[in-house]
Amino acid sequence: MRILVVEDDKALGRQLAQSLTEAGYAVDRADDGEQGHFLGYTEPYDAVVLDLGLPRLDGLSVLKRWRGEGRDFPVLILTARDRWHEKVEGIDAGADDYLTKPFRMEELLARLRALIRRAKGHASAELACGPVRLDTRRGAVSLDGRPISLTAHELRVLSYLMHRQGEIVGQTELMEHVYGHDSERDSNTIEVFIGRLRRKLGPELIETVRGRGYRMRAPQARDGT
Amino acid sequence: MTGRSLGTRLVAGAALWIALALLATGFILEALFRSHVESALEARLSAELNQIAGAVAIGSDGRPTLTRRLADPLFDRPYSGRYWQIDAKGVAPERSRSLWDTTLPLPADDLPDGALHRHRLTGPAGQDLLVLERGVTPTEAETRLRIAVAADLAELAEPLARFRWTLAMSLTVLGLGLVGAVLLQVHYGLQPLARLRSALAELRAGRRERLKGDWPAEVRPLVEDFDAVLDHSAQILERARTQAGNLAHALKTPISVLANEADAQADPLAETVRQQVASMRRHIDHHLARARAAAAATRPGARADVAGIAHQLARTLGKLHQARGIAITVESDGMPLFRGDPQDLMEMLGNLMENACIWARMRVLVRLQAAGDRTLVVVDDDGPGLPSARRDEALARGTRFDESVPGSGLGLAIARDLAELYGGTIALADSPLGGLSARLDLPGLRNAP
Repeated sequence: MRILVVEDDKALGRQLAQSLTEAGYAVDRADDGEQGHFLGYTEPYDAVVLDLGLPRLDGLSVLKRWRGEGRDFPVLILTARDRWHEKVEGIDAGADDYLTKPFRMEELLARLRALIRRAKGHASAELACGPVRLDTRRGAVSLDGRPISLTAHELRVLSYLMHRQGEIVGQTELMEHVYGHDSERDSNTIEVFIGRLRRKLGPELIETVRGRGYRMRAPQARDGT
Repeated sequence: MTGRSLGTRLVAGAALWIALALLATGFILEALFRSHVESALEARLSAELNQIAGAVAIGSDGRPTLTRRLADPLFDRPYSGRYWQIDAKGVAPERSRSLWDTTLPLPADDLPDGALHRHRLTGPAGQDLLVLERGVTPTEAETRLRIAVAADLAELAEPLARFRWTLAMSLTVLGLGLVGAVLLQVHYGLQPLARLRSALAELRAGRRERLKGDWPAEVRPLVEDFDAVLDHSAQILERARTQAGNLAHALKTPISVLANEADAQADPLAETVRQQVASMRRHIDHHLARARAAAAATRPGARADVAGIAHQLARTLGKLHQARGIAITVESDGMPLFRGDPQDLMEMLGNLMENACIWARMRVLVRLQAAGDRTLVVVDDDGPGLPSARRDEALARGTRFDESVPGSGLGLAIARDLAELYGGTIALADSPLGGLSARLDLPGLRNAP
């Protein structure tokens, strides 16, 4: 899962990036509205944390532009503006959630998880695919009830595939949602992660669709096709 | 003059002026009338004098006599007030019967013939007499005669009194009429001031934002200056709000950073920072809310559509609590209006409705009602409710029941502070839905134009 943080305060931006990375997300940062808008316009994010009081272009304008351009990723507004008319304005501009500063990091993380889950059409915080279960709140994975230990990148790959269960996910798409904007990208590493996941979770959960990408399906679902 | 009422001053001034003018008129008219009746009397006396002069003859004893009786019977009735007398040197004066046994005490006087003299003498029975006298020397006599005719001035008193009475009555009626006209004029002339007063009352009541309109030239500068003061204070208010917002933004981000750093640590210092940050946050929230509200509550002419704002909030809260699938219903009775700033209303309603959403299981019901010049908002939820013993605590400043439930607690206190600044109240009760019912009573607007 890849998240964009648009926040002009350097210290808070760093904290957000750190906490989100620790929670298993790939994070990009922008510290002004123009840059934030550009990243959101060009990169496929799974969610955006957006401050309102931004230099160069204010957050509401950024949000309205994205919505006008058809960008429909969930946006959580994180701002010091706590008046109700400001919240109404933010939601009306197309935000999906509104959190006021000062805030607790756990709350932000919980709300982001819920936003992403809803955007991908899942009702529960716990995703299941056959014997594999992913608790999005803790980033914990289990196989037939036994906890499995995964690295951060493995977890990101698995989490994205599980959110998109049953759909074919291209290698480029997977890469875009697993790596941040500035990371060195190498499509071979995706293959490496898939390989490791198959070793840890069993070979039949993630199938390779030749020339198109990967698909994660529960064994019983596959029997039906 | 008290200076308390312009109307009284104008009417009193005009009444004094009218009274003086009418009194002067009365005196002048009375003097003119008196001189008129006196000269009429004199003309009659003068005619009688000529009659006597024409009828006088010198008898053999050298005494003057009248050859003809005078027509007026009053000359024969004793002390009637009409007298004549003819003095000749060396003999007793010849006189009218009305003089009886007295004589007119004519002052010693040396008149040329034909000249007419006027005297005021005291006659018999103390009468105040007007006497006309002429010296005549008849051709057959060598002595000069002094012929005098007298009339009692009391004769004039009765017509004069009658005239005075009529005059006084007419002038009084005229005076009253003039004062009435002045009253009308003052009332009409001061009407713009009365209109100004009712315009100010409308301003205070929130039915009007500025005074400007169709005013007479004398009042217009006042109205324009007053509106300029209102504009100025609106600007100050706007600036104060902007500054409050800037302050909030400036403080809240560093507080967030501090709190997050502390949350990531587990030592006693981090715990102290956490507590202090929480306290800072409460102070900032509380005082910012108050500062914004104090500025807003004094702004005249503000109004807000309660139903519109409730629907906007329901939409927003529906999205914010989307995951929990809470149904927010807004029911509106009539067209309730709030006399105050729309943003402050949104703040109060938003806090109450959010509190209900946080605790509700499935339903939040918002009922709006215009009741006379009050507007009632009742927010019900089907949550666990709040024991009556803890309700005061919930409304008290800075209380936060449950730190683990986001945003709970402080909202009710902020809503109450704001409501009280506007002269409203918040009461908590058991809801028919099973949870808490918050009842907000606010100043409304009776007649929505």
